[in-house]
Amino acid sequence: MSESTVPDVRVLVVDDQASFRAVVADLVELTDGVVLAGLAGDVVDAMDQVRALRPELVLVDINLGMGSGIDLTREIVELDPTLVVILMSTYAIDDLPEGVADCGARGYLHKTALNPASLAGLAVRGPVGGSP
Amino acid sequence: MTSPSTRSRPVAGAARLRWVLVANQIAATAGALLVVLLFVAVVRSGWLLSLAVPIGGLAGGLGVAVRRLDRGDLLASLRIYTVCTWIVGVCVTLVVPFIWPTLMLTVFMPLVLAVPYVRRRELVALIGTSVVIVVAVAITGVTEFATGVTDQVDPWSPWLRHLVVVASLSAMFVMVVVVIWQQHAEAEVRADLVRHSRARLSSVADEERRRIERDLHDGAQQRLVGLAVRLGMLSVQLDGRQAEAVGAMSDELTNAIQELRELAHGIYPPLLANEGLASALRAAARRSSLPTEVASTTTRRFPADVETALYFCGVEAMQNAAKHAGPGARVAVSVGYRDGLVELRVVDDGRGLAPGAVPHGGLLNMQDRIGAVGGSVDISANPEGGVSVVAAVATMAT
Repeated sequence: MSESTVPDVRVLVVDDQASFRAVVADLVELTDGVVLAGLAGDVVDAMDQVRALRPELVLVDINLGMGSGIDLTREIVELDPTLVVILMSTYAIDDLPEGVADCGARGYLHKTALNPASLAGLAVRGPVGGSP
Repeated sequence: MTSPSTRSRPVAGAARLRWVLVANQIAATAGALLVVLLFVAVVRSGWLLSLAVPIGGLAGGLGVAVRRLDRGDLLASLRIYTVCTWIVGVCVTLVVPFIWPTLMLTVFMPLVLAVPYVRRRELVALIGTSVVIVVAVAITGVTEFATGVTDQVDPWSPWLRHLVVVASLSAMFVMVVVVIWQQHAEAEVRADLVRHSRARLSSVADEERRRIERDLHDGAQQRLVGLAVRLGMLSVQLDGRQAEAVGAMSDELTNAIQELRELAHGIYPPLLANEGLASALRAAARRSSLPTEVASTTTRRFPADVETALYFCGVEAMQNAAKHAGPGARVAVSVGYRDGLVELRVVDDGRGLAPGAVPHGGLLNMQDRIGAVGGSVDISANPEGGVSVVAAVATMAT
């Protein structure tokens, strides 16, 4: 049962591991209220898609191969501050790099906390995971 | 003299030993020529000429020793030198007894020279034989056992005797200094080799740890996390018993991921590589059971092996404080960099050190790690109570 007239939130997923991109793609499909806008594996591809698609929600892995997710977040927010960027990673909150708090991300989510409920929450209300 | 191109196998310490032998050879050759000169110019004594034979023989024997050394056989070279020296020492005493003081010193030299190159057993044999020979020389010299050249007493007026003794003792003294210098250089080189080897081993081990943590994180952890998310998706699509079953799987998987993360973290914390010493120590401090503050007066980064050594030393110190400082203690960790020296301090205000209570394993670990990067670690009791661990490493900031 999806929400009535609110258009689905478009989500861009940025993660350097193809297998995880596939997992999140499936998760998005399963979750009401969100739809997949695109998948990106690196910073360059991600910025291209952000410029082209302006997705309302961007999930960014902190540890991208070349260029960190934190730098990408800053770029996205600078380009369009209305876009909601959520950082995700497998690191414990204690081990997060120090740029997390002020890079412009709306929140941080541990990857294991990704499920239909938390994703729907992100789309509607903003971050439900730990905030930096 | 053999040229460098004929050297086949380089032997540790060979170069330094070589020039001692060569110096000896030059001295022996000069000595033989001097004897011949004395024979021709001062006292035509058959005995004196016969001195030239062993001394010249010593020069020849040393030549053989040098050649053996160049072929890589250091021990054989030493043995040749030792035996030649002893033979010559005894022969010269027989002929010219009054320079027995010098000769006692001369026959002792091979023992001194051999110290860095021989094992304990051979050293003991050398000491034993040297003592016998030294005593023989002394007795022969004092009793003027075979009076040889001193029979033709005329030219050997007292001043000449004294001159010869003083000259030969001086020459021997120079040789002693040369040998001592060489021994010291040898010791320093060996210490350096060990230091470098230790640093290399430590660095290789830390590289390995970083690589393992990377591989764990990028590989196994990621897969398990992806799996956990998929299980989560599955469980919302099921009801009742099936949902419960999947829920149980999900819990177990979460535990496994947690354990894997702790394992990887203990192996090498990601923050240390990404953010540096102070950040990593702050994260470790949050895990401590005692309230711990981390302060850093520097934002510089240091070479990876230095940061790693200081990090694990700091963690060890914090763990020791948690174990021994008692409840209610507080810990202050500080990182500073001044005049090319990085200093890590872990100070607690707890129960303090019982005499000899420092856990040996932990201290040894800290000393090994810090020593491997050329630093030092000191543990002491504070006057106001508690323990201070101070580790310092000289390094350049990167």
